[in-house]
Amino acid sequence: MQRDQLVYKNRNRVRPDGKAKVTGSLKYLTDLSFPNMLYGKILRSAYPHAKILSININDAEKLPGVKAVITHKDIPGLNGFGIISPDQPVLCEDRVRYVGDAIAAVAAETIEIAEKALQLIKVEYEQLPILDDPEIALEPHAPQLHENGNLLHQAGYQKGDVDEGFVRSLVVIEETYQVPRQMHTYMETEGGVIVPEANGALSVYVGTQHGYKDRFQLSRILGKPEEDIRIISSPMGGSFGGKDELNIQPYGAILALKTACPVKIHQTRKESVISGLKRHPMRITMKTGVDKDGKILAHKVDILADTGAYSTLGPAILDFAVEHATGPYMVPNVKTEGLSVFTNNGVAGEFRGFGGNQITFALEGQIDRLAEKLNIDSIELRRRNIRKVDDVGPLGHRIAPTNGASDVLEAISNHMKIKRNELNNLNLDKFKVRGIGTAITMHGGGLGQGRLDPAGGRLSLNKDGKIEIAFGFEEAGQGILGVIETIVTEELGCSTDDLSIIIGDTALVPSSGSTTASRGTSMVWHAVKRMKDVFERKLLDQASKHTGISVNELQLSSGGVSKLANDKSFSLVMSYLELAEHMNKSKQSSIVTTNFDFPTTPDDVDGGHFLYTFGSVLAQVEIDLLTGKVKVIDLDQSISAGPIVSMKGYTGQIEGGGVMALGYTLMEEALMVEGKYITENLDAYLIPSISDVPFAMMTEAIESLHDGDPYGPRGVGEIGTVAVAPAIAKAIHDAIGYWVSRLPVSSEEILQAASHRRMKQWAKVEQ
Amino acid sequence: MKEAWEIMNSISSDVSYISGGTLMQLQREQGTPLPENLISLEKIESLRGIKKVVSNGKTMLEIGALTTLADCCSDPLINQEWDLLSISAKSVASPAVRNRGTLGGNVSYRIGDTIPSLLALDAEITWFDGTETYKEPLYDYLKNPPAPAFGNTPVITSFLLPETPVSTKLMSFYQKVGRRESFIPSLVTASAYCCWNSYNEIDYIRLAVGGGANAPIRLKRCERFLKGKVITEEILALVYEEIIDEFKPDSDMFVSASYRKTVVANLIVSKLEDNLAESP
Repeated sequence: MQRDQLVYKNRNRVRPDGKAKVTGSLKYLTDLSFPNMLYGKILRSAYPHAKILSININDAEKLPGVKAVITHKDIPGLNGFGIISPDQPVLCEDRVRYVGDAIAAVAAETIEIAEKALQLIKVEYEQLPILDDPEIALEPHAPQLHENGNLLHQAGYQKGDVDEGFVRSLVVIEETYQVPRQMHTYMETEGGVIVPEANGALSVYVGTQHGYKDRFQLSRILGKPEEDIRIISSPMGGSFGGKDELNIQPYGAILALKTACPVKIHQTRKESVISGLKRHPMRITMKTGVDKDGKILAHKVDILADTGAYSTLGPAILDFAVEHATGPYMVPNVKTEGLSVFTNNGVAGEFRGFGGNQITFALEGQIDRLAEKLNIDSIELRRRNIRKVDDVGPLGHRIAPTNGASDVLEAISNHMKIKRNELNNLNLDKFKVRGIGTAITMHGGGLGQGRLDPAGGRLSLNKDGKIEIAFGFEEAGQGILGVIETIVTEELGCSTDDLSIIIGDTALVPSSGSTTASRGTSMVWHAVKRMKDVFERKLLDQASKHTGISVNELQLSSGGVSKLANDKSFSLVMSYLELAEHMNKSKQSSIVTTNFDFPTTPDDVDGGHFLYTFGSVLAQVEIDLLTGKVKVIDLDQSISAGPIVSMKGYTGQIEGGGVMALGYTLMEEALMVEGKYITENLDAYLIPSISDVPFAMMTEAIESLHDGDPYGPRGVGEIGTVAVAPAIAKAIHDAIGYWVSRLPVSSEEILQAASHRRMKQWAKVEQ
Repeated sequence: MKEAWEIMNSISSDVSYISGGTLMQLQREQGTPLPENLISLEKIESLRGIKKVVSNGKTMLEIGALTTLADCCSDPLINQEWDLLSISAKSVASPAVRNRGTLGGNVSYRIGDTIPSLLALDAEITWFDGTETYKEPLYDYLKNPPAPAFGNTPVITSFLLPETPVSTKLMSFYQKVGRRESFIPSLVTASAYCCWNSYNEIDYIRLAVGGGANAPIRLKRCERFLKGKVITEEILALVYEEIIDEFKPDSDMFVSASYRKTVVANLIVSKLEDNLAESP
């Protein structure tokens, strides 16, 4: 363990953006208004799969108040978008592949006129067979949704000989796990304002998780140089991966250019449900064999992912699931095969956890089922298979040495003893039963080996005498501002009043990669570490020149440059404003920039991660034997992700992530039948309410890193969501002896299981 | 009232009364276009308020149809004697909806959460057809809604709750089961009011159930079956079967009819079991 462990003394501070958010005074980009602003609306497909025979916009164009109607003919550049491959049409020309496909868009003086205009657009379709399941889409005679067929991506990993491993196994468990299409359900739906500027330039005030990537994609669609497009992408009312891909930006941009007016588009919840990304539904079959001591000998995994109509990051998510199929366990024989398949369902893509949540539900389910069969405590079974400090990563690749897996396992094991004891002394209503379960996971940060994953930052003393730190990251509620504030003030010794943080505006910030993959905290820390010495030296040199005091006696401090006295006290010799004026006069630049890549494994393993975080979850549930309802009583997590930078941000991520995953486990499902959403709004698509959440949740941070670890704090944006579902599933089993293998957990299934196993019967159970 | 009625009759189509408007808002979001013409009943003060009245020599609680659900939750009279109604009103949607939504609106919905509790409380309903005010048991009203006069729907004006039977041994409950703990449509709802006589026999019982798109009903056959019975293990088993047999709900995307039947039977029978007669 690291001895002089990093501790930020101001890590308990209130988030700088907290007050404005909780009081509602903060202006989001969808709150913006500009003079002469028009309102945009997008016409989406009437069918999940159809040929477009004709599009007639004449009547819509004639409607008074309508300023522009656009179709595929109005796209100046590439009619396609997608972070990996641009296979999603901006505006469909001859075919629609899902209900969110856009066919036309309107800009009008009011939202009502724009809506009316959409109704006047006549589209003739010829319906095509609907592929609403990946298995149907893979049938030999299924219609082909894309040029290269219906298989978007195939990924796999093989090690040793699983068949031989199964032969030697004493117990083998095979199970198929099914996980649902989850919606991000950010409070702020997709939207913003796109403003035409002089000389054909464009300012795009729309939330995204990667401003520079949006600029690149828009440049390709608009046939315009990237420099002519400015993306202002912060703050956002939530994203969770859902706004990583382009959404309404292209329509607003084309309409703004065509009308020469600012255009505002803000999707309603229903429009957001229909067109927005979702978490991949997956069917995962796992076969796992163990010897008599519980050592896992073989693990065979088959993943079938429904990626919907277009690619976005579908391939990368499958890769991530394949990588994490053995989780934090050392398994000698592994065979993992994954398919990500196009269908006429909603587009599945990036979502907090990135494939890890699905695969971890299955993996931890296997471990628990094996423990039951072997009659070994499930934590002990994990202990017998868990990775050690210097073990290789799950794809056999080298990773940063870490004891995180054992640390979180032992932490939850101790917590379990306390909770079990409490539960044993509890008197319950006769129709309620409780159970406790735990699960663990490991989660890679950054995009992985072989993927462009650049980071960077800029530090300067601006003309107002503020230390200006600039990153391309976006604030989406995750707390990046608090992280930046703590790291910069404590590394440089300045105060928050001396600081100016610039993020989320391509005109003002350097490229620092995407605000995804739990990378923000880590990248801010690395960037500041890299820039701090040079920056300090630049400022102190100039202060020394101005004051005549030796550089060795000077340091940056709150308010300006201070001189150290012999008694270790220090006194301000020059304010930052004076220093800025001095440097300005003497034409000395204070700017320091850095560019680097997110650390990856040195081994040539596609997608392999290097920095992992670890999490363990304890869930206690109470089951109502009369109704089958499952209520989560406790949801406590232990996390190993290095030192905490922002306590409120850290706890917020783990608790918030936990609640999001509670929803995934018990109620959230964007249900589709024949390619159409059944749950079209928040009255049917359910997220947890405050009454569904435990009264208090524990977040235990294990901050120590391995001796000499040079990589600093890791991000915790995703880890709190990953191992919740299997912990709840295990708790249900603990309560009623029934294994859940399908999410969200059905009260009906639980009621039936409980009736069979425990309940005193008044009569025959209805079947 | 009369004025509202006349305005309604002067507009030939695409018109509706509106009070709290929360349900119409929900339906608009679900795709039902809002009518072009809305006649607000909000300012008719006589349709508001909670008071004790004497009707046909019996004391009853009169609740104006425009009384908000929030008022139903907090009213001391309701809370004292007719708490099934306050419990059910509290289970409707969220505080903001309860502040706007009215009891009349919730009943007009036909699947509103308060209906099972009103049925268990033997509520009567009064309504106005343009010329006269009528009164009948809510049970009958729901079973055979009044025929619209002049093509228009009558206006619900109030609800009357009789004083609840008093007994040394009684059981009453209301329970709504949804897909989450709050702000959620009902999957299954059950409510009951039951009194025992000195021989430990049930001498008064109302059982009302609903949930999902299933209009709430009273389980009259089960009521008849239970009346005069002493609760024994055997009776519990029989009534369980009776409930499953009498309640015929539909399935939907979220739960099956069988789930609804089982939960309703579980809820009612578990409450009866709490009142099991001592073994001889």
